[in-house]
Amino acid sequence: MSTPDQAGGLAPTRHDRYEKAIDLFGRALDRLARAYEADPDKRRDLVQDIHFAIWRSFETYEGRCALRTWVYRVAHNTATSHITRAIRLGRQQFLTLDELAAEPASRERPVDEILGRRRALDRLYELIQRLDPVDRQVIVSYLDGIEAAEIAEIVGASPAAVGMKVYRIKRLLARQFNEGGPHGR
Amino acid sequence: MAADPWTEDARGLWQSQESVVTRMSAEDMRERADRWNRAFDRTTWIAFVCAGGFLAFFVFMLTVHHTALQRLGAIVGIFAAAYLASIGLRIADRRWVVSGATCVRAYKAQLERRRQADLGSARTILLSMTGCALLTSPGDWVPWALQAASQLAAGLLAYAYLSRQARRFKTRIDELTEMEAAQP
Repeated sequence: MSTPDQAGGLAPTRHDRYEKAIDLFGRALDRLARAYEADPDKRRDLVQDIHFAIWRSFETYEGRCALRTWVYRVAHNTATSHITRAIRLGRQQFLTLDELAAEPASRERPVDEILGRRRALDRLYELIQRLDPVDRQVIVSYLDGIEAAEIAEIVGASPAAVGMKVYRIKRLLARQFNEGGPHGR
Repeated sequence: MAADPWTEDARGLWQSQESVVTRMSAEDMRERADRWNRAFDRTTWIAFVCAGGFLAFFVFMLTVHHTALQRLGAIVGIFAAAYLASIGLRIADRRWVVSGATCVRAYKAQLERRRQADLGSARTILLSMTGCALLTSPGDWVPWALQAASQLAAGLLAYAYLSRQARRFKTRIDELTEMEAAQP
């Protein structure tokens, strides 16, 4: 079944790019969606929105930035729209890194490593899901292994500003996660 | 960005979690496109419906009232309807959707869209309540003044509440602009 885009000969390129992006970053996009939406049904919907936004964005992608930078930008922007709609409906309130840092750290100690890892991950998601969009974009990118310079390119802030945010994030996470490590060493 | 054992562990924990890779067909994409368009249109129809309602009401008031003050009230109301329609048109513009822009720029655009919507609503409410206050027939000045004052007060309260929200958006937009301006 042909699509209007196929008739114009554009679809293979766009769809190829989409397939490549999903091969490379599909798992990261799933993690990113979870960082923005806790409800599993709404998250499935958000993942599909992100995929659609990425697919559509390749119509205007000119290769001026790396594929990863582009995909993360589109994904974060779509997810940010999703959560700002939730804010408008009064479902959530965002916090800044400083406000979160002022909250008391958990003293909970997990009983074994597997349970500890699962709990640490759940708490990490809880913490991220309360953050302001820009802080959330930085922390998710950081946890995905992206370095400050590329995070700055994704977010659109200076590497120094991003570096400062990453420093605060590290301090916050270390304080929140029992100081000994994410699975309570 | 110096790495330390804990944060490397956190990154490892994050990256090693089980995740599902979704893939969407061209058919899925078309369905999603229709859904997006409907969702986007839904965000603006309320402004046009309200503008239509205001326009019908104040045009009717213009035809049935004959004193200069009442006619002025109807004209203020018609202006409120036109202003609301113009805000609706501005909000409905697709330029707010900037998927490939940097996150800060895209977020700023979203906040600016909401700021304009809030500010537009605040001004429309104030204008229409002013129009309503002037529409009331000034047969007896004391009751008229009381009624007009309560209508204006309601408009001012709504204006103060909505414009306060708009100011909060503006503050965040300014912070984001500052963060963006620091980029070399």
